[in-house]
Amino acid sequence: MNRLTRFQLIRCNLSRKPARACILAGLVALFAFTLFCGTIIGQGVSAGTRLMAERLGADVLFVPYGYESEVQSSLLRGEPSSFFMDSAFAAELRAEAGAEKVTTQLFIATLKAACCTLPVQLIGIDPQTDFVVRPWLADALRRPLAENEVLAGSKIVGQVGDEIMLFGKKLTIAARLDPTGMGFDTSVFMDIGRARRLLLLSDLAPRLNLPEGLDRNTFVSSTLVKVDPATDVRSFANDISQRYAIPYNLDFVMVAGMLSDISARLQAFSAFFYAFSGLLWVLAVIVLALVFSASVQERKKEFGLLRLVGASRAALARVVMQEALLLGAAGALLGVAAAGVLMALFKTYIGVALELPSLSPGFASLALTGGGVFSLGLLAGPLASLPAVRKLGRIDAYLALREEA
Amino acid sequence: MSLLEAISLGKEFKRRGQRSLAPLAAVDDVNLAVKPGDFITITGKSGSGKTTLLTLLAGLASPTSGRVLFRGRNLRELPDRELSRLRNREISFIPQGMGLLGNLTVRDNVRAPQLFAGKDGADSSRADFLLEAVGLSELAQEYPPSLSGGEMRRVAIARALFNQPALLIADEPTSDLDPANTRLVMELLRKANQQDTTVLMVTHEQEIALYGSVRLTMESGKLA
Repeated sequence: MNRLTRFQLIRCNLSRKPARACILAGLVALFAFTLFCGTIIGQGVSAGTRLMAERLGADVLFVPYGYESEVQSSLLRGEPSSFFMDSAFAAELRAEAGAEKVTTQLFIATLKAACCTLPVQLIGIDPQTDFVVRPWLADALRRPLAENEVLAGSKIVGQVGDEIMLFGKKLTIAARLDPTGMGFDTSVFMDIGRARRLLLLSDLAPRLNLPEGLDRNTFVSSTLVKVDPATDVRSFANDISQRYAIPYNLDFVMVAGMLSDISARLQAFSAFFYAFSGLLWVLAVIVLALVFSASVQERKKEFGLLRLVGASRAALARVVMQEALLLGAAGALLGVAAAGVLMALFKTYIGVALELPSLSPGFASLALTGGGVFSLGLLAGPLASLPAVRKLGRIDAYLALREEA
Repeated sequence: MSLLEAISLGKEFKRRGQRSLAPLAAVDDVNLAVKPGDFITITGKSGSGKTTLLTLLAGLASPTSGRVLFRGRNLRELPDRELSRLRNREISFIPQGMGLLGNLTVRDNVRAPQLFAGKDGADSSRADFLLEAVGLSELAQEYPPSLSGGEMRRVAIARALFNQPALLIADEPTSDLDPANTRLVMELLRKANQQDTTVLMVTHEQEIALYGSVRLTMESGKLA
């Protein structure tokens, strides 16, 4: 026949005051929720930034003057935009010392696409010179893109071979990109020449406001440069800018600068979350400690009775600590689970709201973070019960019984 | 050989706020030998030191002077763990008042000693047997607040007998009970005594003291 266990006693003790137990567990849950969300978001942004730095390839982006922020928004967050410059600049740049690789891209914002819940950025790439998009290709594509083919970012709905509608045309997905954590994930890529023709034939064409004198057969949006390792990137960009800024009406964006900006924002974000989580943890420990300490006084008679039936001081301490542990565990589990569900449901929106490149952490990372946060939540209980345990050691069963009488 | 022996036992309390006065001797030079099978009743007025004596004999409080020997072992020299084990297995204590755990059902209150017995001690079926014996089987799943004073006292007796202790110490087990319940409780204690449990109880009611095979009186901390 089943024996009465200490777990049953602890469960009965906690259910005696359910509101109090819920509030205490809720405090730990709030801490776990905040820390888990903050850590996962921070990890996502960190991974996105790191991957972007590793694989973007380009050091400098030359764009039409006034469109520096647009190209950053498009690259980092996939915010669709359209801007144009002369492709002749790319040809001149290739002849410059220090320019190891040069390619051009064409950015076209679609208003709506049947494939996607978010607006889509169509990016025209030059297959002959591209060194930016190719490294992200998840599926090997050893042939040029056909007229009606596109490469799809990881968040574009559809498999290889599926058709998507863009500018009223049916296009086939020839290959997909790995998740990048940046704007490429919500972008569709195609041959730059075909993208240009598609654009000019579309309803968008009259509203594009192409600059005067721009060759309609060769215009691009940006020129991306990989600088020779022996050349200083900033000096190169400044030098090029000085000589070409006025004739081509352009400006430049340094990728390193863009990343350091993200890094600084990430640090500020992480610092806030960790500080807030730390504060919540300390608050949870203090409140739990106060409540447990007060309850020792309130439960003196109960502890006296437990001493009567054979509880040693150490066993009583274990009862109180296990009650705290159970509350901490319930709270931590609830917090981590709620945060996990929330993050899974809203990960896309969180990434967009943050305005930072973000990647969803893998299962191992999630499990490790969840485990760590759970352990901290778990620790809050026994730690908070220490003052109560100390107080318990001073309770005189004899006096407690006299009070009972 | 005595089961329990008190030798020159004394317990003094400092008087709060009156440090200049001599300490109060709640128990004063008590000598007592309890033999296996005894049913000892101690009578005395309120404040005579009866409860203090019981708590010293149960190892719940430390004496100021003298010693308590249980089966020849000095309780004061036992570590807390060992002393707790004694209270779990060999010395049961029925406190004055409604000494039940309000969070647990009647049945769980009876088998509460299991919580600290490890893998030893009685099986849960003994709780059912004891509830039957004290006439409370139908209340097994009830919680103490729904019980009457007499029922609570009978549950406390059932709990005290759970691990078949060698010594049962009861502090005023019939106080506040009506005559019918008083008789019921005393019959339970007498039955336990007949089944090899030594009983030591205090009461301020003279007629209750008559249940004892050894009757003692306590006055101003001294036993006579």
